[in-house]
Amino acid sequence: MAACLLRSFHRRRSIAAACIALAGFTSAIAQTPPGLNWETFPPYMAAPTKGYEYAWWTPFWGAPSVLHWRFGVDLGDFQGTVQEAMGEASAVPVANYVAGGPQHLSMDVPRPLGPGLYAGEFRAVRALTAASDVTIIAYRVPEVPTSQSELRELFEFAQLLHIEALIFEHVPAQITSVDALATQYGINIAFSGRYQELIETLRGAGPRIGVCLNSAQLRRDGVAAAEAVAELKHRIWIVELQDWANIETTSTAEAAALLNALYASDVKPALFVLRQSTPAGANPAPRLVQSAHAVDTLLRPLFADVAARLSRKSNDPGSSDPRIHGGDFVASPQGRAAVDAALPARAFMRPQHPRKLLIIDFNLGYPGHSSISAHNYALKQLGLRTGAYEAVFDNDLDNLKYPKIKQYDAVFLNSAVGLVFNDPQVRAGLLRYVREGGGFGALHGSSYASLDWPEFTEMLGGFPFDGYDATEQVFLKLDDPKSPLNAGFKGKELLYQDEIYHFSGPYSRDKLHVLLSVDVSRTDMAQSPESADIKVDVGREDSDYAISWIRQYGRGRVFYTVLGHNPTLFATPALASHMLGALQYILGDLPADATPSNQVTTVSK
Amino acid sequence: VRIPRPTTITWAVFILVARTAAAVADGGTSPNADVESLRSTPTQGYGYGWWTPLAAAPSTLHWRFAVELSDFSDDYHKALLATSAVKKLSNYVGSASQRVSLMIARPLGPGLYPQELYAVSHWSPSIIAYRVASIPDDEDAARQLFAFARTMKIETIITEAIPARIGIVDMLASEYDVSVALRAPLPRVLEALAHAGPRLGACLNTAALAEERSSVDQVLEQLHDRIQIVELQKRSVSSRDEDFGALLKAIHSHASKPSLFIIRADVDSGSSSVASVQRNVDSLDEVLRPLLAEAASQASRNPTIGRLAETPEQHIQLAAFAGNSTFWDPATPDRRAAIDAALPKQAIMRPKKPRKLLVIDLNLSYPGHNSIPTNNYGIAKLGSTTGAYEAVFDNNLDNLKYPAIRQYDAIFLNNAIGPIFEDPQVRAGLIRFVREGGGFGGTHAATHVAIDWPEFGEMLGATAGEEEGVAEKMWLKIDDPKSPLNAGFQGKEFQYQDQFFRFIGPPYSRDTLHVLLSVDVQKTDMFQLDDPTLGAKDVTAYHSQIGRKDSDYAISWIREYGQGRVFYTTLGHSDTLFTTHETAQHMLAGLQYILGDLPADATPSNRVSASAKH
Repeated sequence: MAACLLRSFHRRRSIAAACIALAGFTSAIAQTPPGLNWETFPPYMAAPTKGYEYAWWTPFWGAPSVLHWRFGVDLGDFQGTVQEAMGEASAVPVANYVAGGPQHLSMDVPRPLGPGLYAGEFRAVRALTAASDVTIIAYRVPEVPTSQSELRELFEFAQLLHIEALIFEHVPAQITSVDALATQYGINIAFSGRYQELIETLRGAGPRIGVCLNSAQLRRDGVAAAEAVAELKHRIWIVELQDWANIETTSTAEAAALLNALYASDVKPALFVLRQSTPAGANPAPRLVQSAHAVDTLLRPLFADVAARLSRKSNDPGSSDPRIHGGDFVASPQGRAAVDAALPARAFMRPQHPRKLLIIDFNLGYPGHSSISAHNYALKQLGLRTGAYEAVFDNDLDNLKYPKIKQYDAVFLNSAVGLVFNDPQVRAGLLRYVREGGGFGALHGSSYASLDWPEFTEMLGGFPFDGYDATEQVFLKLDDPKSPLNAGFKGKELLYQDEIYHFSGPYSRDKLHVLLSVDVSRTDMAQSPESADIKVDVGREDSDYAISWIRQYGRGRVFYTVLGHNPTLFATPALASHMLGALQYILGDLPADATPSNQVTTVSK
Repeated sequence: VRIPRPTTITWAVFILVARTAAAVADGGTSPNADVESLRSTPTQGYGYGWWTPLAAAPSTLHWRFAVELSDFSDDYHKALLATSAVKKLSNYVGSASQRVSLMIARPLGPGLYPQELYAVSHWSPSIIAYRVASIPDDEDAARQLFAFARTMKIETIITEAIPARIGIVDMLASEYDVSVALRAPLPRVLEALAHAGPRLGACLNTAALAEERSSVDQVLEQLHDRIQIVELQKRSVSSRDEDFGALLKAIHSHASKPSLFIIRADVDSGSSSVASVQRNVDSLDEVLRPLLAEAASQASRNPTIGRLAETPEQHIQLAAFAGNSTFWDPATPDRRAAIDAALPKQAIMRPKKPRKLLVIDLNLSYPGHNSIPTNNYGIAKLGSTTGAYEAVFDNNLDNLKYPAIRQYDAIFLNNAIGPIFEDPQVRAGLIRFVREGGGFGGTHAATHVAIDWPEFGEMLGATAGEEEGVAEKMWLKIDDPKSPLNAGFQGKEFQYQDQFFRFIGPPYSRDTLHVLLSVDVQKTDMFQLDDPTLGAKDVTAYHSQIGRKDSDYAISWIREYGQGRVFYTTLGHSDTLFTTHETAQHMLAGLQYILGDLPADATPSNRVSASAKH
């Protein structure tokens, strides 16, 4: 994957690394089930959302980058000190915290987090948030100071801590000076309280004054979500989702109405806070995780809508939307020349009839690999030169719905990463099409398309659990030297540099016919800069790191290769031949033995 | 003057320690949380360590201990993770029979690719020794083995077969600066060593010795200084033939200095090799204790240790003893002048009779605080100026045995540290003396004396202690304003800069101690640790784990112990204790209290506050 993805990926992995080492989660990772399990986050997916960074495991994680919605929790909902609350809150997949109120900072500092802290203690708060990679983004003020100097101290404290918003739980008498200070310090004020009071407060207020809406309070005030959103619009700084742990069984429609109204009005609050009231002494974290899960479910239709809209735009050459990448055929002249020189001149088999290959390079929640355009160029040229197929570049996800998808002979994903398939009709269409005899292929990052869709992972053949960096040189072992897809290697192992993912979950030689894998006896297995501390214990007991495979899925044919992070895939003759063979296999023209590798081995024994 | 850290423990370890302490404190299962946490600190190299005899052995006896990774797993990396279950040791012996890791599924040894070697060296500080079934007869293959050892900073290759071509092995051992230890029946080892250079030696195994029914003394006679490695191993948990103590005593008395002791799982280790190793590790403290008692006794009788460094020559002697010449700061003329100016001129109470205060500043397995000479001067001068007592500076531990100890009115530890009280007679003498009405006190690091002796910690009122840097400015709250020991503060809180120990777990308790001073956590910045070498994560992890739920960080206290009196203050890391009038006054009162001249209420603080409520 592109460097940017890797950085965030590895940063998160390194957060999890200590836990892995300490808790001995090794085996748990190797047995990660296909798709995501909200009860037991795979460690690298326990990464919290923070800021607006890319993340693509599920809509909840994708929301910051795709919808520009961030999520957090309120430390005041937890027991004990701020520090203890942060410890408990780390179980919730968010990294934005609301603090404030009478809660003491820590065991050592039996005083509230606030302007009264000493300098070293203040540094400690910074260190605490930095070490946990979290932000105290908003600060709750139950009693707004009455004196001007105390009020100023409060704003100075908020500024020092990089707090974005102060939540005032009542409207102070000196609202004008609050307004002025908010402007002066560049800190937003979110008033919380009864709906009608909020409306009153906003009248005539400056641009830094807004509201903190609480879903339960709205219900108590008898205000419909759509009405509130329409009235308050961009004055909504913070939205508190109160006690949503069981929202799926209680008031789904109401909850969905709130999120849908915000989405439809394009309102982007600074923060959504998952809140939870619990009996004294109870840890709210498990229920907050349930809340996040509930939000995830509610977000999926919104993601389907975003994906549908963006996928229709993304074929425009030169699209400037940073969330869309590829499809513009801009490969360098040198790159094109290398590809032109390496591409096979002839098809393996003459096509039985003209073939149409639909190529999708849609990314959502991720900016996209820079190699996409080079591969697109090669895929187009390969079809033109050999006559094996006509390449159709169209990301419009409607093409995957049934029966529209039947116009293509195969669908190929060129490093489509992220929350690509959200619409149930799209998902159903693709699966049915392949089961009924269609072709499906994918390279590299496409194994990260829709990680939360187990059937997709099952069809593709593996759940990626780990990746080296793009500078790793591996020896490609020919697992089936007789396969026509491997003919281009002429029986010889190839040393190739790329980013090699490792697979777990549904990956199995009981189901897949493996074509290439890493020759672990010839390859330096610790090339990643992080291999020293992380990669060591996330390997497979069987040292089986497959690179390419084919399989039958229903009556259809599937090909996947982990190669393709680097743009040299089609500029390498043996691999260009490998790709042509694969495409002709999924298109239905090149017969190849797809017997699961383990059955082949058994027979040959 | 740069004030040294009081400990040589690395911060990373300290973090681990602190975390363990917190965990234990929460569980409340351990009688002494602070001690339990320190037990997990590893020994490595010859670094200072003083919490148990095993930890003290490297610096005091020059003995290092290791574990054999193949006892834990045939996967090198998994074994490293598994050793975290066996605390106290961080020297590792690797083995050619081990796979490197899940990802690098090839044997640990020559043939690994460069980055794989880097990865292995990254996981642990060093593989101190490396075990092979045999050294290849082929010179090129043997050369690769030695090159691997050299690359990985392996000190010794242990071979389980006598090499056929001993001359080549000898040559390569010299060329690559790697020792070779032969692990084979004694006669064959002796035969091979007869023709080999000093790089080749023997690897003894206690289980094998017991099997062969070899006499320990005979083995040592024959091998002298050719013992490179000693494997402490039993045939089974119930086997009594492998007497670790006899062997170690013999090695000690022969002054044979093996480079490494490997504490191994029993040959028949049953279901858990980890438990087996842990059992054998645990058994070593008692085995080593008599040897440390002897070392302490020798050190304590060293006549050059006066600690009142009057002359530059004495200063050098002290520095040499301390093992670190840069840390020692003699009581310089300006410090003396400052002390002279600050000291009270009169005793608080006229002594009922002439008092003798025995001052001990013995440090073992630790170089010693550089404030010791200055504070010794303060103690001496305080006695002579006020006439409250005569200070006797004598570290000879025989003075603590009964009845010799009775010639003193009180015993005072000026930053003594380490396993100095290992002799049962010394322990019994000190405890009996206090119980029968003697006085006992200490400053600062005295809580780091005899950490594994629970009665001592109970008597003193605290054990070990966590610190956050060496120069915290704390507000001292006066817990008992009426106590004559606090009269010098005149009822006012007092800001003082020092290194403060925080006592997280038992035995510290207001149920037993009458607290005089404690940290005013409302007025004090409770997070002053500001070491630029620490990352945010280290600072937070360290800081976050050492707090008390009740925020009670006591600084000074008194208590009654039997008929005796005890005074302790965590102050005294810095040499300003006696140059500051208020704290000098506090010290005088503390000393007069333990000497028996100054009556003071020593009712445990919690009982005072309970009765005040009624």
